[in-house]
Formats: sequence, structure tokens, C-alpha cells
Amino acid sequence: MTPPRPYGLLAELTHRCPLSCPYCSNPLELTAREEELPAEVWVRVLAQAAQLGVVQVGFSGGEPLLYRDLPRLIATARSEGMYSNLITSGLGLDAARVRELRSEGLDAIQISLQADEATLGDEVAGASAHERKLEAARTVVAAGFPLGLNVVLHRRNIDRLDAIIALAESLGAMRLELANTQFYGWAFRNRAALLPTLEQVRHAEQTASRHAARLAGRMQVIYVLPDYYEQQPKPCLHGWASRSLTVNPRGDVLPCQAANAIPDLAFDNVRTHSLGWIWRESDAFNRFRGFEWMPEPCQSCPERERDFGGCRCQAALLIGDAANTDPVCEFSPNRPVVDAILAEPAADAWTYRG
Amino acid sequence: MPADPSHPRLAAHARRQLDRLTGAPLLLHPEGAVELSETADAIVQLCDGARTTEEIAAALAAEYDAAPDALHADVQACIAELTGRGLLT
Repeated sequence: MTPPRPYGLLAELTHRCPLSCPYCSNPLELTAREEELPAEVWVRVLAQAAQLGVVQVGFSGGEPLLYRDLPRLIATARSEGMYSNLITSGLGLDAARVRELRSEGLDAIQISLQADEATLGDEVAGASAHERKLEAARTVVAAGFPLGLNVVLHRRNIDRLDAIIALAESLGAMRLELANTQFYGWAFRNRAALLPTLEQVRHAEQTASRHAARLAGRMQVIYVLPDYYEQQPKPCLHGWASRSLTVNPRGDVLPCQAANAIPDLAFDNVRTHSLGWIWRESDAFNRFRGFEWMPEPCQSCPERERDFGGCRCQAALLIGDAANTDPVCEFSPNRPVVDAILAEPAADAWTYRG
Repeated sequence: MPADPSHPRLAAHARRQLDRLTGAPLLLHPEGAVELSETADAIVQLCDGARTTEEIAAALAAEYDAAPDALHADVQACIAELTGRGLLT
């Protein structure tokens, strides 16, 4: 079976990062600088991605600005006809840097914020970051660049949506993504300190949707649900290995950035295989493609066309078997595992990513 | 309801490009790509920030030899949809 073509590539250039957020989505084992792919390999990977059909590249990390040859990679993405988005903390993004990246053909910039104000923002980031992020955001907008903002939501900042949205508005962002923490990696470890209450979540949904309507046509407000509180699992990746791929700092190619959570999955590497070969042949990509792998209750469920059985990484993390229905699903026999997490007492302190 | 721009133009973060594999017109944006139908593509290319919706319908009607009134609703719906998705402003 020939798989469909991928549209998106997440290029994780480095795991180095000036922040140490307790919900970091990177794996617990980070790649050292010496193991990072050299720029020549990334240039080859980008060309292969474009050939494969990829039209959209996210340069991410860690902090992608710490990867020295980033401008060259942006230029490559542009010359290969791909749209590029820089996903950054904003630290190190000054006017000269913005001009340089823009002249190489960067299309958009997304800066993360941790809160609407510095005390909480810096506490979450584990660094003196908030004011520098605001400065970077203003620099991006002043340069006429489309600014996207991303705020990861958790129990400590989810009640502050009014102020967060007002801040995004005052900065002149085109797009604000309010993304509830998804519990993998460090976030899973810190879930008792991060998980909001049901009451917080419902209130936040209403607030986000009220502002989204008010700001329509001016600023796009996107609210990403916290899936533990849902009855239907998220349609993870729109089906495993169907639309996008992730290349991590050492060159392993993953169907999803959290796929390291699945212990028995072996990833092929761009140093030894072409991206096209990996997309078509890699076991990690073929394992959960389509519907054949599905157990019950997914196999006979009409919703499988919509939710694809949910998230493989979550099934691996919560019930130790990736080839199982996402336990968030109300029809999963393992739903009590999620309910037990929701019933856990909240913790006051989190552990920062080391 | 998405705001209905009087003089629509491509959002600053959107870029139109032909698909390398299929030749189909795409609108690329930070989170992905939208494949445009032939009509939607013709409309998008007329969204230059100077023309009004009526003028876009008229230009399109001239190109396809159709009545502007018949096209106006379609043009408006297309622009409203792309505006709602943050691709036109």
C-alpha cells in the first residue's frame, strides 16, 4: 500500500533551550549538542521533504535560534518551495535577527508565552524570560512580520485567559494558540501540578470562545482541549503517519514528536535512510497506519474514521500498549485509568526540566 | 461570525503557491495548507486589498463570461470562509 504524501515537517534542530518549562514536550532524554545533525544533512532532508510533498516546515527545538545554521535552512526551505514557521521562545530574537531570517525567506514566527505577566511567566519558564519575550514579540510586529503566540495552559495560568488574550491583542498578534497541556514527557511527570480542574477547564472554554468570536477577522484564537476531560479521544495526527513527520535533533524520524513514549518502536535515521524510504518503509511509520492494527472497541466503531483510535503515545504511556484504544475514550475498558488520574490530589510544586 | 472585509487581501501569514506534486493551487499558512478549487484560486488572486467583493465578482464574471449577480453570493461565501480561517483579511 502506498501511503498518502506528507504535508508537514517538524524540524527539531536542537534540544538546547534557555527555558526549563515543567510541561516541556521534549523527551526525558535530550540529545547533546555533539549529536545534533550538521546543516548539510538538514539541507538534504529539506530537499527530500519537498520532493515527498511537504509544503510546510516548522523549525522547532528546543530553541531553534541556538542552531547556528538556521538562516541557511530557512533559505533552503524557501528555495524548495516550502512555507517556514519559526517556533521559538523569543529569547535571542532581536531586530537584526528578525531582518536576517526574513530576508532568507522565513514566512512566520510563533513565540511562546507562559503567562500574561512576568512573575508567573518567569516562574513557569524557570528563567527571567517574560519581558524579553514581549520585547521579541514587539520587534517581530514592528518588522511587519506575522506574529503567532502560543500559551500552554495548566492549573496555574488557565484562570488568566482574559489577561492573556488582552496581552496578545495589545502585542498585535495575528494568531493566539491556547493549548492545554498534553501529558507526555515532562508534562506527564508533572501532571499533578499541571492538571486543571474540570471547573477551570469549562470556564476557560467559554472565555476562549467568547473572545474568539469578538476578535474574528482580527486575531485568530485557537483553543486546544485538555483531552483527559473529553469522552472522545483527540484525532491524533489525523491518523498515524498520514500527514506529517518529525525529524529530531539527532536525525531520527518520528511519526509524531511524542513517539518516543512508545518503547518498542524503532526509528530510522536520516543519516542512513532517505526521508522517502522512511515515510514508505519504516516500521515506526507503518505500525499504526490505516485501521488494521485496531483492536476493539475501535475496530467496529464508526468513530474510527473521525478519531483514528486517538493517540498511540497516550495508550503506551497510560496502559503500556500503543496498539490499544486511547484510554480517554469513553468506550475504552481502560477509561478508569484516566479517571483515576483526574481524581489524584493536586500537587503544589513541579519539577523543572533539567 | 467572521468579519467580512470590505477590500479583502491575503493575510500577512498566508502565501499562495502551486503544489510541486499536483500543480494544484495551495494557500500555505503557519499550521498547514489549504487546497483551493479553481474558482477559489481565481477569487484569491483577485483579493488585492483594492477591489471590493462586488468588483471581484465583476472581474470574475468578465473572465468566465457569466452574470456578476449570479457569482456574487459564491464570491462572498468563499471570502467569508477564507476570512474565517484567518487566510484573508
